[in-house]
Amino acid sequence: MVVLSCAAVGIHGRDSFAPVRGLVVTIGAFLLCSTALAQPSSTFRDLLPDLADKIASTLGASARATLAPTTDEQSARDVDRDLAALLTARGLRIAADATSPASASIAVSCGENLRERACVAEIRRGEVRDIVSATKAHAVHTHEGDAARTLAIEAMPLFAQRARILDVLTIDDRLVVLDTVGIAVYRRANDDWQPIASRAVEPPRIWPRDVRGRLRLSGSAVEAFLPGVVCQTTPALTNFTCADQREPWPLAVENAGLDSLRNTFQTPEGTPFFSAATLDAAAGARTVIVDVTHSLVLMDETRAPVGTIGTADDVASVAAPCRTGAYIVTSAGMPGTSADALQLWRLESRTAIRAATPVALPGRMTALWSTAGAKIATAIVRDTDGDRYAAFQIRISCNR
Amino acid sequence: MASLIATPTAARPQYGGTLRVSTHASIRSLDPAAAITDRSEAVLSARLRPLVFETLVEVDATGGLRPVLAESWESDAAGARWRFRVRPGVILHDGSPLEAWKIAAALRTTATAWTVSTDGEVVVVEPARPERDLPWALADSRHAIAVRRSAAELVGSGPFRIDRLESGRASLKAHDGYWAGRPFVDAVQVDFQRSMRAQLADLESGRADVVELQPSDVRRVTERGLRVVATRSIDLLVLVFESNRAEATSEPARRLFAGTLDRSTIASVLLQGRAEPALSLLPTWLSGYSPQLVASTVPRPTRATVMALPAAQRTLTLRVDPTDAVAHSIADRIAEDAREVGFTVTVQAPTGLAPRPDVRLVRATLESTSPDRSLQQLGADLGSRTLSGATTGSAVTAGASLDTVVRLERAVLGGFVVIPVVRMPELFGLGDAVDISEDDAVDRTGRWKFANLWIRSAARARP
Repeated sequence: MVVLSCAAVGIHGRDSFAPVRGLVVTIGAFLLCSTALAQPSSTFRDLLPDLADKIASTLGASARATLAPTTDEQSARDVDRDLAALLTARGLRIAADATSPASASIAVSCGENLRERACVAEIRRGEVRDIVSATKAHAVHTHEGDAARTLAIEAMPLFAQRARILDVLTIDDRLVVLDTVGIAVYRRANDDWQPIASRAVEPPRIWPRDVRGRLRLSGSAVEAFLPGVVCQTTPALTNFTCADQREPWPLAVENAGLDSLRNTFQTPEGTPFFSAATLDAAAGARTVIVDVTHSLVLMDETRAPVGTIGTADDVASVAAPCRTGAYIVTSAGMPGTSADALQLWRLESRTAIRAATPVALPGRMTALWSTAGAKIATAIVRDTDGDRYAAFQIRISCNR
Repeated sequence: MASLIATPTAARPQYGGTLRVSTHASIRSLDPAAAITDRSEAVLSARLRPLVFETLVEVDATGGLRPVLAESWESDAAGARWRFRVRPGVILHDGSPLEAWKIAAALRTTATAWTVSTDGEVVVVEPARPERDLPWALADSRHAIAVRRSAAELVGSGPFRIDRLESGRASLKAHDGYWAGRPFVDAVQVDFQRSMRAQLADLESGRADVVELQPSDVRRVTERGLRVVATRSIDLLVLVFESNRAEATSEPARRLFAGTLDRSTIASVLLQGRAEPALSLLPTWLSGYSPQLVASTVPRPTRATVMALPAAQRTLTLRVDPTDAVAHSIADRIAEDAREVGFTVTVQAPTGLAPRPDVRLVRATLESTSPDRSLQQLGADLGSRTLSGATTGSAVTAGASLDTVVRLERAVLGGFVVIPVVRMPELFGLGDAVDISEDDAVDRTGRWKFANLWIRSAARARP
């Protein structure tokens, strides 16, 4: 059904500094479902216009109705809310209060069976009860071997240290590590990383509490993006220069760089967000962002929001070597633990479908970046037990 | 002193050995075209048949379809003409290649209403009327591809071939040329008509590798370190009133009787948490909608309300299958709960001729994987006369829309002629010599996946 189970847990990961009604607030807690994103209301959102058409056709324009909740679950309420908006747009008058007199009462149930996703509405008018439904078949795997292969998230440890790692970049046998102090380069030798060079980065001002940094290989130059600072150097860290300037960061969405006092970016339209990922056309959207309420918001080519598919702390796009389609990894806390889990989703027609078993991480994730080409992602995890930061390369593997 | 990292068990599967399976039912034929009227024989056939005969497509237990003998398929917009491209390289049990014309011939036997032709290595199916979900029908093992070499000899493409099919036992041999990889075991031996008690003893003594289990046996089996695998909840226990008690005038009595059911206690205590209360005929994972949309719930009646019924309507004979111990214990519990509020209930488990009952406790196993076909199948299992009476003559047909299914299910339940009680999974115990290479021994919809099993040669203790 719409939501299987929920538990109240504290928020974690990146703090939220979103100005709300003139105040700067930190969101303290939210409901994190144990099946977060497994059956969010958005899973059924594409069915609702068809369902609304059928209800409107049954009741007739300008009819009065109430939506009777079938369960007390948040996602069921979301479905009711979205459906109410669609019915209102079709000329029906939807009473907000279920106890108010109305000509009809509508109860909606959304779920899925093996064949399809479905939303069924029961319309009661006195003793008359009508049933209408909207369904959409599950994707059929027609490629040879496609369905026989299962996807798995692979988290390969790359590097670990005590200082907070912001990003890592592999260049042939070298590893560039950006942390809160500066940049260091290591070379692989005997299954270990030997330091070659390092350069300190002097912050022009105090770094924000949740400092973030990003590395990019641009031609033969290594660029480091920090809050209000951009550094350029070579893979050997020669010709190292930093400039106190705010520049766009290499993200999936056009931006003006990280706010030097915050941990968020902004779209050209002014929407603040934590992270972003590029999507394949099958997703039905161009990009997905994690906004400051931790919602995963889908955006089209013009960066207009076209849907919300759940919540997460971070998002990155990855490619499945044995499958086509749009895949993203998201991070979220595991209820009852002080660690995060990575989850893999396939996006299809603006719907998120779980694509692999979640992978538990050894601590809180502090960064998740898509790499160039979005084949793999980089995750940085703070291992609370060992008090160190570890960088992982995240990729999808295909198993028979 | 140097130490070695201990590997508790070998993870790489071993080839060889015979997998020994026990079941309470028996079968006479695996022919997909054979008409089977006995419920337990039909269920066992549906479990065993996919090991020998494969379908063009298969229902993925997590949702959707996946290709098997058809590597891809397509249809026109209306679903009037379907094209299935045959998977290349499939070798039949007689060593010959699987070809489109062989599939077409097999389908003409099992689906006489369809027009089946070939176009090169494509099988073209034109149903009598457009069917937008025809592949779901083809996923049913009754449409498995059995190539007829003679009237009595059938050849399949599955991981095992039939070696012998006798009255008490089926013997299967591994198909070396199986397109998805030879099974690990050399043979499968299925012993029929083993009582549940005997099966448990077989498992514990090492005489069987796979047996059926009752919910009450699960704790004992797991405490011995043996594994239990469960399907989804595909078994439904349901009360069905006979036609003499199904008329409209008896509806108040049926409604009150339904109110006496304590489904939660039956599920959690009697069946030790291995079952769930059933308010609808179709489980949510199969229907996709909430049971509340179709359920007819009534509060527990008072003794005074029941005593206000005519005496004849307060007296009921409840019949149960004498070979189904679980159903018998549930029937006893139902009778006890009903007696507390004034009903007089006699549980009848006849092995021979017996007086006509008023209500039966029936076990139905959901074999189909789509809501329309499952409701159609339940209609057949529970008695079409009873259901057609409950639905004022309407019948569920394959391909019916979901709202039609909801409407019919609600109509069936609305008259209290058919009252769901509990649903439960099918349970299987695995012996300590058997291991699973991947996936599972039994998939969530109940199909046996014995090509995934292998036997630890060192662990087997033959009797």
